[in-house]
Amino acid sequence: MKALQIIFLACVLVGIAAVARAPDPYLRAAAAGHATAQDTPPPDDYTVDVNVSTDSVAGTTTWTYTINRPLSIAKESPHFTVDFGSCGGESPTMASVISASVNGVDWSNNISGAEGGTNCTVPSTNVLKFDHLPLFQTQYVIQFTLNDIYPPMDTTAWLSTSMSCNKKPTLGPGCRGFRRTTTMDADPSLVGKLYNDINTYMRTFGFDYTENPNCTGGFGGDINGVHAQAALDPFYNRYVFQFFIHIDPVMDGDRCSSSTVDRQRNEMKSATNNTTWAPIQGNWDEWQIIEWKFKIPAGFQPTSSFCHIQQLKAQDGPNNGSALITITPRANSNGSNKRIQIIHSVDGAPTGKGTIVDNVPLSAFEDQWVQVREEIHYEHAGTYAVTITRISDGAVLVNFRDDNIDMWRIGSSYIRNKYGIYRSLAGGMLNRTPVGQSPLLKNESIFLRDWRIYEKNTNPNPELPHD
Amino acid sequence: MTKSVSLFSVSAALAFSALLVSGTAAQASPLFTQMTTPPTQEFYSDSQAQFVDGVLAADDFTLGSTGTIRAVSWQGAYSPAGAPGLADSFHINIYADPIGSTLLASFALGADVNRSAAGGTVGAGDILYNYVAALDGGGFTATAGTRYWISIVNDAAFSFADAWTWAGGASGAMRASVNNGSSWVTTAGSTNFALDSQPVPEPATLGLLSLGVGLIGVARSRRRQRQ
Repeated sequence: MKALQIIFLACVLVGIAAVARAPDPYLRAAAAGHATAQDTPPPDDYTVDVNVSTDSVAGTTTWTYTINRPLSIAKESPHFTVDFGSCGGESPTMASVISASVNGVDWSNNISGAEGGTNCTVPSTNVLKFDHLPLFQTQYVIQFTLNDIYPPMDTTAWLSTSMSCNKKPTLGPGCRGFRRTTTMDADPSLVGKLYNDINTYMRTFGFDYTENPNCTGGFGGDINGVHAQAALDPFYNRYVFQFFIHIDPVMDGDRCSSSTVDRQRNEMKSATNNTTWAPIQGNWDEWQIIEWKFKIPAGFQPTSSFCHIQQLKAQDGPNNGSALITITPRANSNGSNKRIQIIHSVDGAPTGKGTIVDNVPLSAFEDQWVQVREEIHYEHAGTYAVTITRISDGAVLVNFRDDNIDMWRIGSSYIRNKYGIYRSLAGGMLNRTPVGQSPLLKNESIFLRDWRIYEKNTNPNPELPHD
Repeated sequence: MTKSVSLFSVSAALAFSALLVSGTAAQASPLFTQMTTPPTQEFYSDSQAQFVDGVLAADDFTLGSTGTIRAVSWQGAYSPAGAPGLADSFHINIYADPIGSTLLASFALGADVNRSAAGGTVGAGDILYNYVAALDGGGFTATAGTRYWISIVNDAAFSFADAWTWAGGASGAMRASVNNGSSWVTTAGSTNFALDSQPVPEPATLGLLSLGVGLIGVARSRRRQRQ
């Protein structure tokens, strides 16, 4: 009996020893301190290229998004979502989709008009989502055709699973019935170039750069200064326009004027020409959408006087002195309370609405690219709508709309759009020594890029003045 | 003597029972462990998957000191069935870096893998399984500081309707090959696996263990009857 017990005991001990040596990593991951981590951050990015074709006979637009990404063998099929809500009620919806395909395969049974089932936070309620994209693909060619003509506008797309969400700015179908009349961005060929070359470049796209301090005579001219340049932007890793206004070494003026000596101006604008470039201007009863981006450097110091970075302003007519709309950084007289304002003016008429947007902290803009989108109906009972969205996080900094606002100047034929820095010397006079400008004023700059202008209800006689 | 042996036998049996219940291995020797706990992602790694003839997943490891890998543990699931369908047929390959250049060792495990439910799910509710397998033929000796790649694939004739997936995390980088290893590319993710210098219990050892425990019970029963 004792021998049998010893055999039993030996069996148990052998078994325990063998089991005790078995690996069980799931309970001891923390004990593996000597292991060397090899993994690197995942290459989970992707690129998306957009192509749009319009069939003017059929009245349709076909959108093709070509997505390239690294191979993924993750179990989950990705989803691709495009924000369709770029133009409110004039945007397409899922009902506008005539056909849809992925890599040439009919996908119309795998699209939806709402976000869901992914890890994305999509603010828009009007999207087109392609579900269950094929696994193990490094390229997706996603195509859909819409039942009307929608011009390209800035929007957002997401490639997502329940585990990940990769958001990209891209182009998407915009406002039904509008047509895009121009786009412009800075170009690397402009590096090192000054006023003349920049002006020549801009005129190709329907803009010009003639209102700057690169002049002689009068007051505030500086032909040796750099007033604008193409600068490499680290956020976009591409060249953008940078416009300067100087206190030192030469105090800039207003186009070397001898009369407007109380201000400084360095602006580009839609070309002063209402025949060739009428589509870039706002003409009577036209609808226009103006998209552009700007970045205000950190530390930008406004004063309590005007400092316009954009103006919508009549070129001609008896009442073209003040702009209809200005976007203006402003501060209190001591420099505090730095904020962004948008001001509406009707040149003394009682319909002027004054400051329509106020108290948006300038800090929300500093060193941040923002997307501006303005929608205008140029008539006396017109429309002005503006959204300003911070690119980095999608925060909507300004969202204003008024569908009964006077957006015309009596006797004018066209309204220009102008960009740059046009500011008061805040007590200073260039024809005085010392000038006596506000001590808050210093050299400043603003970054600008990516203009897109759209138009509908085009005026057939844009050159004719209208009351 | 009879009394002392009986007490020891009872203690040993209780300890083993505790091991079986908890799965804890008190003196194991992990060489490398890579875990996302709980796993959040599944990566196809079987011989048949959607649209392609096989998908292989591989991840890298480097040991801090030279050691012989005699056992591999990993986690996985069956998708979209959520539970095993056909018999497993695992295959583990170890490659030199860069993967695909040189196959250093290949272990055809078949179904000779200890599979147990891990007590949770992964992804959209697939049952998560733990797997442990011994590497036969003396295992594989990895040199300290050298980067290797390990591929674990289930070769069973699954279809996409019941594919095997290797569990892990969404972050990190691994390598993958579609169309049965025609080329390897970097992909996002991190698989759950561990390498151990000690082998897993052989089935014969487990049988001996079970026999011993059973006989202890018989002996205790007989002793009570005599008393």
